[in-house]
Amino acid sequence: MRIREVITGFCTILIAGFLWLLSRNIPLQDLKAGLGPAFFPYLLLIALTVLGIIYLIFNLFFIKDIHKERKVNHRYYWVTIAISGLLIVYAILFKYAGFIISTFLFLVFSMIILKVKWLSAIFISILATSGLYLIFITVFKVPLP
Amino acid sequence: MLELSDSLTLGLPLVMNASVLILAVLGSLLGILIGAIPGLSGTMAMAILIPLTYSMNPQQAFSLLLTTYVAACYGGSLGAILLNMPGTGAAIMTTLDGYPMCKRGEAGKAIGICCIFSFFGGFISALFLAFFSPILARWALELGTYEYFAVAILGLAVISYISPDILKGLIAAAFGLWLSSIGTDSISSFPRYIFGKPELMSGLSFIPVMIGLFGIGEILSSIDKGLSRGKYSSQKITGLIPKLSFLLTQVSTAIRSVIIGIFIGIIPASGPTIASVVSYGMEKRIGRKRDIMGTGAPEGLVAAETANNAGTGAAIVPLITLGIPGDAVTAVLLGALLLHGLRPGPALFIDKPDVVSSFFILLLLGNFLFLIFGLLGSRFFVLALRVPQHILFPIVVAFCFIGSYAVNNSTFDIIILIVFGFIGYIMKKIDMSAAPLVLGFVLGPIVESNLRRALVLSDGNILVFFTRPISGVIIVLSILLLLSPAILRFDYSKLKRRIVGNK
Repeated sequence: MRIREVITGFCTILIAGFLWLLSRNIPLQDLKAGLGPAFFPYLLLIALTVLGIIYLIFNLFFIKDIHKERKVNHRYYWVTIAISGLLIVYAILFKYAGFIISTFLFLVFSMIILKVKWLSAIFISILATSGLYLIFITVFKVPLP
Repeated sequence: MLELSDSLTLGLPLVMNASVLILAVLGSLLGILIGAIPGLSGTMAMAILIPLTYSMNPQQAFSLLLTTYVAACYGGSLGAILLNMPGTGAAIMTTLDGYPMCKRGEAGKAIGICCIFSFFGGFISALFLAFFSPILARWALELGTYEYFAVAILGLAVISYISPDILKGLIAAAFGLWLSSIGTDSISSFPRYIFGKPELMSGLSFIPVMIGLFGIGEILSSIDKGLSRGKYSSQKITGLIPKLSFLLTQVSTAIRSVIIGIFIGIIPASGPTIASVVSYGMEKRIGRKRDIMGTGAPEGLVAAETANNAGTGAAIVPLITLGIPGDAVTAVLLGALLLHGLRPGPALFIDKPDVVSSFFILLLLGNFLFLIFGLLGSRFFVLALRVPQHILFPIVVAFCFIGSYAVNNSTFDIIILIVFGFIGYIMKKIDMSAAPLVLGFVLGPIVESNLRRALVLSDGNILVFFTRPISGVIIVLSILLLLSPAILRFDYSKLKRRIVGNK
């Protein structure tokens, strides 16, 4: 039994069940009416559930645990979580503060989290933000907030 | 309809334009640079570059994208040779002989061999695309609902098969197909899973999904594994152009590899990476220098690099003729084609033969360009390997945000980007390939509309897919492919003992 794989199989079934609940209001029609908009999603959710069950059974009963724990480097684990949080903040700022301020702040803080020195981070962020502005807004005329 | 004789001439006036040629040069330079840097894949490069093409016409857009595509395939070898880290997945086999050559002080020679044979593979593959596609497109005109459904299923079966775990591949493909059902149903116009968001009426935007999975997801995964500071061998890159006598000794390996590359590349969901692995394996089995392969043998480089670039043009064949992308990169290309109002398939060969021809020419041009830049500028491109990922990745994330926003000028697409970035990261964490999900998402509308139409036409008889010759063969092939690991691993002697007893 491999715990990670068992969780994957279990989550697949849970996700399929959750999506099934979301699909309740979509009508299923007969053959003459073209089977209805729910036909294809229902078919896929059945497939997803069946695959999840097979995966779960396979890993519960037929795969031996190889007792090989993956080494987790907690420093990078926290860095990934911090960068993920910054992505969400960047998305919010992108909408309300606009491209220049949000991009500059995101670049500075993400580089600092990734252990780039303060001054270098600020200098590179100014250069990168100006470069992106030049490429997208000036050259390619992409309207940004 | 694009005639065979016009394949490489009809589009010439469209390509012979200053802006198109400048963008081709830019695409080639960017492709080599992005391909060289480990962590930035060719698929990511294409996904990120698409937003830059919004204001361009199709020729300009595809001169940038197609040249990037072929150049990135070569660029991957630079990281493989100098860092022992393939810049792109397709260069994985190049590390086996490239890095030992680098350690022997022959990095320049290895890069030169990769460049010349990548060009050879890519050039022949582009010619194959140009001459084979019109024939296949003519044949594709006769295909119907059942056959299109079958080919799409074959694509999903192959991509699940080549995933690290078939079951996980199938789960990802099913999830991708479900994602494609978000938005208004094309037959009944009923809105599905839109949660009151008008932005979802036309479905999930393709570009933010792609950039999220292949851009943000890959970057988070790289950060999670720990970033590299870009330390590489600082030896001088010299002696790039090999002697003619050496090139002549490699002809048989190169021809073998180009055939393997094209054959594997054309199979839906295979593409350059598998082509390179199979070609290297074949050379190790039957090649003249098979005993020294893996220790810095140029033959290993020739086999791997010729085959992976031979897969580039071939992988476009199912996309352009049937409208069915073969792998993740061609799925991104499909997104770009649709963005520019071009729906690939046989109809494109009838409606816009000059545009199709211009794509073939651009692919050939892309191969010539990376040959020139690769031989003349490799000593400069390798400097890109010194840029630390700590600086590069935040800038790429900013690129991803801008690219996703620019699709519809909507911050909702940024939310999609982040959601799929996290999905891509989680998938990497649990060793689930994102490629089946992407292919499922792209092929979803084809699978759904053809399945429903076929069932209505056949009065609900599902066996009709098996009774029609082409669809029957393809579907049986798909089923056999998915069951093959179980069939091959099954202990038949045990079964025999059970049936006949232990006599």
